[in-house]
Amino acid sequence: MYAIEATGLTKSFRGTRAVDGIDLLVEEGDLVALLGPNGAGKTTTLMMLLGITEPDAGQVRLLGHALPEERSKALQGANFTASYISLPEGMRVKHYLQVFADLYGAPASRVQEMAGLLGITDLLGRLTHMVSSGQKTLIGLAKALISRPPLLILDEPTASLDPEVSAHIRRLLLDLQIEQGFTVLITSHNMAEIERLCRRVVFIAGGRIVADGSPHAVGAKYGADDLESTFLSIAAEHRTRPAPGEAASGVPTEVGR
Amino acid sequence: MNAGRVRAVFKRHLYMTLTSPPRIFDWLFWPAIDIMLWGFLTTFLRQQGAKLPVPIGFLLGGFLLWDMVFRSENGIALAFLDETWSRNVLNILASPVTPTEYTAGAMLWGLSRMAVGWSIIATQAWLVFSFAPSAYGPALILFAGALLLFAVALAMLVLGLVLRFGNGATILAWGATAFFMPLSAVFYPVSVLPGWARAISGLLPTAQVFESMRTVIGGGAIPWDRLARAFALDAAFLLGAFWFARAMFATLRRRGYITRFM
Repeated sequence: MYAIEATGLTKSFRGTRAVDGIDLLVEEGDLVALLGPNGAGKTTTLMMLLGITEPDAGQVRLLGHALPEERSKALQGANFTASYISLPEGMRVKHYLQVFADLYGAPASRVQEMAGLLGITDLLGRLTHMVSSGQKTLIGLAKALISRPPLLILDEPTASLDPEVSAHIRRLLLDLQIEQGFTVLITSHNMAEIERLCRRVVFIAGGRIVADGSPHAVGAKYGADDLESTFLSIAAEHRTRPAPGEAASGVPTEVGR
Repeated sequence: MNAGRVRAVFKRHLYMTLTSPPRIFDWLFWPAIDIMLWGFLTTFLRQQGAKLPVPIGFLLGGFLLWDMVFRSENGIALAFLDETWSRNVLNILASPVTPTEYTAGAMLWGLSRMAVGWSIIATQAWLVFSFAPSAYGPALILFAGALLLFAVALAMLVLGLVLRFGNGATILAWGATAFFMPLSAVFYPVSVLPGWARAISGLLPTAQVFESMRTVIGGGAIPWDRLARAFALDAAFLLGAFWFARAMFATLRRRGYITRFM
């Protein structure tokens, strides 16, 4: 059974391909990294997987639900966070988490539970604009975990965290994944983190999948000792300017007005 | 439609408002200041013994009803705009809440916000200027219904424009009602408008309501034909506005405009 079934995903902006026929099958309970240089098409792919951007061609099924027809059902079982998502200004952290617990149909007690897990209990009474960027990331993760989702999609979740907090989050994700068995699809530019976290890596460049397998197997294919060297080899081989629709930061830019 | 998710959207905006003194000020105090302005103008005209073809109360009456349109449209549109300003759109779109549920929650919030604010200024108009909402008679319910439907349509129009053109279009949350106000004949009869403006005014449900209001405040019977026309026009505006907002949302998904809100 697959948590993610994407076939033939294609997206163009103003006639230029940003994502070019991506097929991605992710088995339930797997930890998969979607990697690639800036502008490779990672975030555009994630937006299509979440049903936010409509593909020009191809199909997506999340947890067995076809998009866009069963989008609400699919997203009930998935949750998402990204380093570039902000928090609504002027809300207390506990209210922010409570609203998302309600949106996902999770019990109110989950707010305290998640805050305890992520070590942010003392932030619950604070206003969202009174927390640091690292704390915002932790709150975003608490929001993503609050529904105990069978599928967790994370776009550079630890980008603004220091190494100690990143390591804590990584351990926590691994422990929770073992306990709850959820599926993780993650993007990151921290190759050491991905090596420790994921069983499978999928590299994309120029909107296409160029390598797929265990970190070790993909590294061996490129004659590299670690994932960082693998990344550099792949980036050099497929070096192009950022595809339209993706800025150098990896966040899609506005195109196709 | 999932009622829990609709309530969550409502609570999101309630929580944010309750922790923000500027938002509470905007919600409760600006209308109170506005009513003072129109109340004193009405008092001045009464003291001067101004001879007008309709009772002087139409100024306060007009303001109170127009405030319903402005506050409702503004409240619903701001609920959407708050998501864009706080870069929370992606969180919302990645959640199971459907566009219909989100819109219902935003409408519930916007209309509740208006109802509280309007109750305060209506009480103020009664206590300070001796203008009670009972001056409208039972027609008040019909007037309010027709005006609120128009306000919802305007909010959907603003939402569609923001989805299409990004945050640059947010000024319309305040400007949309102002655009329709002169042609709605809030403070004067439609008959004072030039021919071309009268023609446009005839297509606005608001103009039908305010003409009806002057008739009722003047002691006339409820003009049922005018109110029926107001509701029919509301239906057309609502259909068009929801179609437009839906089409703009589809465009956002197709062209990847989500990046405007990240």
